[in-house]
Amino acid sequence: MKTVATYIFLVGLPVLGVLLVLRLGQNLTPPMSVGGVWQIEVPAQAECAAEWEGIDELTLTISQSGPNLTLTLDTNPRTTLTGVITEAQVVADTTRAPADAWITHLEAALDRQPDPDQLTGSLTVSACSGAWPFTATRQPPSPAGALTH
Amino acid sequence: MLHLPTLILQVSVIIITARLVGWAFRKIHQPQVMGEMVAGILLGPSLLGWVAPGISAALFPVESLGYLNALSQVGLLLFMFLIGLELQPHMLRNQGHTALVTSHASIIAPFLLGSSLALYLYPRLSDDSVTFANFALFMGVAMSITAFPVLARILTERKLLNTKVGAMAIACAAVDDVTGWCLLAAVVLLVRSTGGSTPIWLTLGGTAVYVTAMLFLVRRLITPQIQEFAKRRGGITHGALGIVLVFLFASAWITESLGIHALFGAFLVGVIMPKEEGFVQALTEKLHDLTVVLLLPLFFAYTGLRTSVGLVNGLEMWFYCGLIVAVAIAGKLGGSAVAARASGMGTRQAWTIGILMNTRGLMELVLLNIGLDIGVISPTLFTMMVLMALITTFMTAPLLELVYFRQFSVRAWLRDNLAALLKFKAPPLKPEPPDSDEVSAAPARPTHADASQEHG
Repeated sequence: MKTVATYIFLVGLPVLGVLLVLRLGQNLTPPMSVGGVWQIEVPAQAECAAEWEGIDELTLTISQSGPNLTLTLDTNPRTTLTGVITEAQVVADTTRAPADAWITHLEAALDRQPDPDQLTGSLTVSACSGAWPFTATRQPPSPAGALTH
Repeated sequence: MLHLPTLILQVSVIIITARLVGWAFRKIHQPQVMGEMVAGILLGPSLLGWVAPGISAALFPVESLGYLNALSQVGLLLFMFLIGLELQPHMLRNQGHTALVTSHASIIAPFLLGSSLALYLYPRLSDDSVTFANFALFMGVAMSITAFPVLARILTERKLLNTKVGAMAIACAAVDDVTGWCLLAAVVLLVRSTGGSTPIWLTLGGTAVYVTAMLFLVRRLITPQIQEFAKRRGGITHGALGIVLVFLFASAWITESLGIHALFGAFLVGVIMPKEEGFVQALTEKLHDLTVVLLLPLFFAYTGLRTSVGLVNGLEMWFYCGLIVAVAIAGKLGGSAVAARASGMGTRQAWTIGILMNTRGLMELVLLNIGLDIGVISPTLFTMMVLMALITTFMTAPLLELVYFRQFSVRAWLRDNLAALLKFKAPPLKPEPPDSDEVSAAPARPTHADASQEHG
């Protein structure tokens, strides 16, 4: 009898607790997902033509942990930005001194298309004034999972 | 395209680092596997990629990691087969009431705390590509896993296997292992069913049919034939080993195709293999060394390449990391100890059970890699959980030494230190009753002589 009571107390009650937790968690709202690999098309750009010469496409890799983001363009450390997502707005800044960075600032809005997702916004390049508008398309995830290399 | 010189160089560097760091950890009375896990982290962006990014990029170019991953996955399949092979049915059957309550409570307590922690972490470390249920269930499983093999080796090495504590710990770990992998299979199934290519009814039905067929048909009809074949040939010949390997990989392929993970298929084949001692030992000897010395370090290195301590930046992130470690210890160590104590074990024995059950080792890393692959945890949370696995594995040996072998008592420690602080002579405590329920008279001191086979 004592064993049964102990079992109910130590096992039965926690099982109910897990069910309660699953129910409570249904109401939680996490940040929108922007993590993954995005393909940026480089449009013709009069202002910063020299900066984008020879580049047709760029890969934007976003590592997401909750609202916190780390963004890198073409795995170039000079383009690494850190930022946050608030609702559908992404804002990120370089982690380097502005003179040492290529991209210094990014602002974008996530547009939840049925398929694929799109990110529309602007990049600030350190070497030229003004913001460079871009549209990025989310790429399907690689089967091996995200590598933080 | 495969660049063979790079792969050969990678494998060589990984083995050398794993052996060296493993040796260093054995010197400080830690299991070899602990050192090998740390070696993997050192080769990744947390150290090599941070101090020598050029060397790191040349040694581990991103395009080469697929081959490293493939080799490490083969190693894991073999390892999971060996884990299943080591599981003896009598460990699960002859438990008694105390072990039944303790083993079940040692799973559900950390599971509850892990899923409760998910309430706090979900909005902070996850995103809407993962449902709360999947996230919470994964956190629960990740908190409740125990490294059965490393536990078995610690108990053997410290001559605890024939004590009541040892028998209880091994029974609980066996139950934990089977339950943990079943729960993880359920989580993988849930995650993959949302947006996966295999329909859920096919996965569920197929898995049920497959597991039933393996447990009740294949175990009775086919695996005894393999044992018989091996006996006729005078041991595990190349032919017999080939049959076992084909069987293992076929099972892994089926479970992977069904939408649960390939590792479950390999584990299941190990579980249903005949448990006659000579057969198990011979088969283990054939597969163990290559798996442990060559293939598992590749898995540790691959895990290390995905672990970037730099992602845990800022006080807030380190707070989350500390919280994960604290909850993991409270759930597994505390939960198991309280359950063992409530089931009638002595205080010291109950704490020892808790300490042993808190060992997560390699099994946790396997589980975390699956979580990262299926996208249920982010790289940052993955790193935090890897740190938790390292800390909980690291603390087992010193805590065991302190609590079990030196008979450290919090009550006595507080009494002595408070008395010294308040400068009064405290009356002697009533001594704790001896552990009359030990099977062997007194626990042997650890030798630390040969820990080369410790993996888990």
